[in-house]
Parts: sequence; C-alpha cells; structure tokens
Amino acid sequence: MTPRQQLIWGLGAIVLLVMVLELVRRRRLREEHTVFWLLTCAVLLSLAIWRRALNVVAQIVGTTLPLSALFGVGFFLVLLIMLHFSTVVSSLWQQSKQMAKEIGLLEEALRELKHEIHGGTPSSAKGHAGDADPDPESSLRN
Amino acid sequence: MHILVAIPAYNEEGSITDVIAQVREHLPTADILVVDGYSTDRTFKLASGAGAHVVRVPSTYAIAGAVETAFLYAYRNGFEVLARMDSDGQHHARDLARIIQAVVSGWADVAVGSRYLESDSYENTLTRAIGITLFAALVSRITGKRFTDTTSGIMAVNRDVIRYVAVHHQFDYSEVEAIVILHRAGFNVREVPVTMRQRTVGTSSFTTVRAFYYVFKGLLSVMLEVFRRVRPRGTEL
Repeated sequence: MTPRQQLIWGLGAIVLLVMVLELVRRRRLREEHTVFWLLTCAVLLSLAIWRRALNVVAQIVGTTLPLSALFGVGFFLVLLIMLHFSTVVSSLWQQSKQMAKEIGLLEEALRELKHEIHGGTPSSAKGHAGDADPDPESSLRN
Repeated sequence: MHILVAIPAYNEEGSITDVIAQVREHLPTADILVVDGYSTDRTFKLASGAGAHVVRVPSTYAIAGAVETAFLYAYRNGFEVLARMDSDGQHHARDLARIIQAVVSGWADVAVGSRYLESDSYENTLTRAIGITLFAALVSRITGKRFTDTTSGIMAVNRDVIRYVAVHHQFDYSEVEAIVILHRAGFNVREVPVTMRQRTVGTSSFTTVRAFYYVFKGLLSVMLEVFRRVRPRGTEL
C-alpha cells in the first residue's frame, strides 16, 4: 500500500469517527448504536496506519494486495453494522406492536368506561356507537 | 364458564354482523371481541352496534397483532376459554361451539378446527393447497403427531394456554408456529373436524405475494423453532 493510499484511508476513517462522535454529541445517535461504527473506524484506522498488520491480514485472507484486504475487512464490518441495525428494527417492531396492543386495549377500556358513565351497560350501550367512533385521522391508522 | 370469542377483522362490513349474530345464536353466554385492524369501512361501527367488544390494533401488525391482543384481553379479563374464528363468514359458529366443548371438557388444551380431518370438500387454489400440505407434513413431523390443517383460523384454548401466550410478549403469533410451540410446551393440541364455507362477500387479505411471504415466514420460523429452547407450560410467571 502506498503512503498516499494510507493517508486517504486513514483520513477517511478519522472523518467517519468524527462524524459518529459529533452525532452522539448532538444526541442524534444513541451511544448504544455506535459500537459497530466505532469498531469499524478503529479497525480501518489501525490497518491504514499499521502496514505490517494489514500485510498479515492480506496473507490470512490469501490476497497479495493489502488494499483489497482492507476493502474486504471494511465490507465485512459494514455487513456487521447492517445486521446489527436489522436486529434493532426487529426489536422496534416488537415494541411498537406491544404498544399498539396496549393502546388498543386501553382505548376499548376507555370507551366502555365512558358508556358506563353516560349510563347503560357497556355492551348494550354499544348499540349507539355513533359517538364512540374514534378519531378517523388517528395516527395509528395505516 | 367465562368464554371469549375473538374475531379478527379488517374491512369485513359485509359479513361481520352475521358472524356476530351466529356466534350469539350458538354461544349465547360467550363474550364477543372483535379485533379490528382500523378498517377503512364500517366494520368498527357495525361490530360495536352488534354489541361486541371492539379493540382496534393497526392491521400493520397483521393477524399476529390481532390474535395476541385477543390473548391479552382474555388474560387480563379473566376468561377461562378463548376461542377464535374468522370474520369473513367462512367458519360456522356451531363448529366453534364444538371446538370450545373439546376444551371445556378437558379433551384438549388447544382444539384446532381442521377442514381436512374428515372431508376435503373445501376447495383451495393450488398455491394454498401446496402451502397447507407442506405445513401439515412439517408440523406432523416435528411434533410426531398427525396434523392436517395447521393454518386453520378456528380454534379454542383454555386458561393455561391463554396465560402462556399472553405472558410471552416476544412471541410473534402465527397459526402454524403456535401449534408447534404449544405442543412443545407440553399442551395437548388436538384437531376437531370442521366444515368451511367459501367466502361469499368481501375479499381475502391474502394476496399471492402475501401467501408466499406467509409460507416463507412460517417455514423459517417452524424449522428454527426446533432449535429454540422450550419454555415449558406453567413457567411463565
């Protein structure tokens, strides 16, 4: 790897690192979600600076070009980041579903309660459901 | 006996009133819960008007969101039996009464209505038939018990199952997976023969793309279920 390539990769890693830290400072990125980004920056920066380590990596993956080894490592780290965020999306899905269920149950309980207050048993009061029609512009609507 | 009949519905204004009336006729003492996926038609109004309890959960969460909500509702309100049927009018309420009886009598913890146990009069499209056969074979293989209709939407469960499912929040409910999970947890899952009508009104929410996705998701989750740790029944609290 030429010194020029080292400089570019090193600078790139530093810029990424600064961007990640800046996002955390502005509270636009949660610390919890920076782990893989910081790992990626650290690995790319060390391999850009430390030539011998990159040569070892190149040997291990079986390429004569240290630069392609660097690409390979970077690519793998990006895949890790994507996988990590897929798990984040899945857990958000579970959480939002849980909340939707709770809101649905609460809304029903509230409607029954209102009917009880306004007289009549909840299920028979459902007969005049006109006033119970929830907000059609509800944000929960798809 | 405190029985809850849950009916997931999305844009079923053409059939929901009839379905509720039929459940009333065959199960006069049961409470009826319609889980409405924020229908854009009059499903909510009609169901409320017919005297059912109505809980609304966005249809984004599909049938899983609806059924899980029914389990939570049944759990928190102390119901001893939770039964479920479709809102499109394809299931018979008298079949549901028989399925509930199977649970009430203690013959099964989970009773699932099967269209294919006795007759195969119900006609399906080829894709569906393949999916149903595939799942039945897979689930029978995994559980070591013969199942003929694992995607059935008509079933009943007892209080122990209600508690088990309601407490496991992370469990993304699907009919096929539920049979495998509940069987592995130690519940007695059995099929009861039912007949099914062809849909007469409304349209199925099951498009070809969704059908493929359903089969894909079902296969993946059921096959991986074998490699998951079983939570035995009674350990949820």
